[in-house]
Amino acid sequence: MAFRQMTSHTLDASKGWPQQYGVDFKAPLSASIPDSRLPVYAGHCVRLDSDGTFLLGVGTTASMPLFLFQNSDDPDIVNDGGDAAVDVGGWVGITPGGGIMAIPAKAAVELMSTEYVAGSYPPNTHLTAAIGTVAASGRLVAGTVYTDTIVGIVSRGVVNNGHGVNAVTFWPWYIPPTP
Amino acid sequence: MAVMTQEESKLINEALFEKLSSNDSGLVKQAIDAVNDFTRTKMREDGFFRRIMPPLPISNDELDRQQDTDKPVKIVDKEPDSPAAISVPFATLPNSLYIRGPRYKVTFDRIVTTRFTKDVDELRTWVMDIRQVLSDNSIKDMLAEEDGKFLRAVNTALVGQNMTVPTSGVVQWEGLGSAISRDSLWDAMKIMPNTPSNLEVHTVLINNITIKEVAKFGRNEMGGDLSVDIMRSGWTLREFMGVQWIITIKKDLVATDTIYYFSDPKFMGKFFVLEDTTMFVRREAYFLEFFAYETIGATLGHTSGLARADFNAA
Repeated sequence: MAFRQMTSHTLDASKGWPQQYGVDFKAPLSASIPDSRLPVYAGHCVRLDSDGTFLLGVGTTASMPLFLFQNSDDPDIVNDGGDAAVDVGGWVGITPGGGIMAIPAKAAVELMSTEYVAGSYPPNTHLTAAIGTVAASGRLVAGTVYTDTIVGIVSRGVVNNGHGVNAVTFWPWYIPPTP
Repeated sequence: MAVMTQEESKLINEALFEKLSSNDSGLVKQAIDAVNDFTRTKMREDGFFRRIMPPLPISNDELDRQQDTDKPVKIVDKEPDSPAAISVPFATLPNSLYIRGPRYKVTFDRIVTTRFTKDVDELRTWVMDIRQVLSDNSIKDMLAEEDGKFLRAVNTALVGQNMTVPTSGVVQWEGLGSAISRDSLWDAMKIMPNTPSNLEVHTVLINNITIKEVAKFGRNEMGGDLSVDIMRSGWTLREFMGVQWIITIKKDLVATDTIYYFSDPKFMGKFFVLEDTTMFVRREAYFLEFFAYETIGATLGHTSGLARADFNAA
């Protein structure tokens, strides 16, 4: 099992959240995301599919970007007791319900995500996130306006997330791939 | 809970409303406590999950800290299985088994209702109990979520109709070709004790349509005057066939012609309440807003204490 601290993968809101009437959103991850891509860490960019579940990234789709606040294997998201149809001695969690909280790109917040593709992110860099199920899918990366779906604009660049892990800071912002 | 007259409801409303409108935080707390007491009583009475697996309060001290998360988790020991004793001839010794203790994990999440809002001046015209206004929708929504999660987990644990559950090695969700009769009801009661754990049924869960098939039993099937009593008064039994029966109107969760069987709760798993059902009530200017929430954790740790029978299955 890979080393992991609870501070290794984070999404934080530097400004604007939490608030009582915030527009956070809850949905489960799509079952189409393969086990090899799990867990999906906090800070990933996701979009909704037609079933109302989260898929990784936005690519060039006209989809509202959202940013995961929890890891997909956090105890308030899943209680993995094995596959009841296969595993002997497993258990089945009645709780939790499987939904992950995400902050949509239209929220008035400044976010800080550890999940980005290594690179240079000076202020005002436009960010996107590729679709698919490879390692880079859903991770923030520099994008091109009116080519990629833009999910945010870098605010203060790459900073320490408060626990020694680098994180890119940005204002979530949605610009569709075509004008 | 006794039914109140309109006059009694009105008196309670006036007292509650006066407290909620007060600037005295003690009085406001009294009003909120009154709503909470009412809500918690209704939660205990109305949900089938809570009757099948009664919740246990859990304190912070009883939680098990994890290295990789600060979210609440409780680890529970399972009773270890052991191979059966065997007969041997003289001059031999027993086989060895290194003792290992399996465990399971209970993780927690929060159930919340919608945030309800109402102009207080519109509430002045209500003659029904305001505690009921505040809590009715909340309770219905929370119980639907609790009961739904419970039965989804039960169905997952039972794998599928006529499919073997790996842990027990037998089918625990049977599709019975026959309609409900005295014989088929007893046949269905055999499913759970047929597992190696030999657990007996403690509680039956059935919907309000399927129970009428049982109520049709004649004198020969029901046995004696009970059929006459049921014909005259309807189904009022809480115990039948030596077990507790729970009849639900939630047909979306418990399908017609389906009966669920549960063992004594201690053989099923754990249901912990970290924060009991609580009503958040706030008045700002002339708007009253409220929502209910609770933090619970539950796991089916032993799946042999579950069974399901689908009657009239193709």
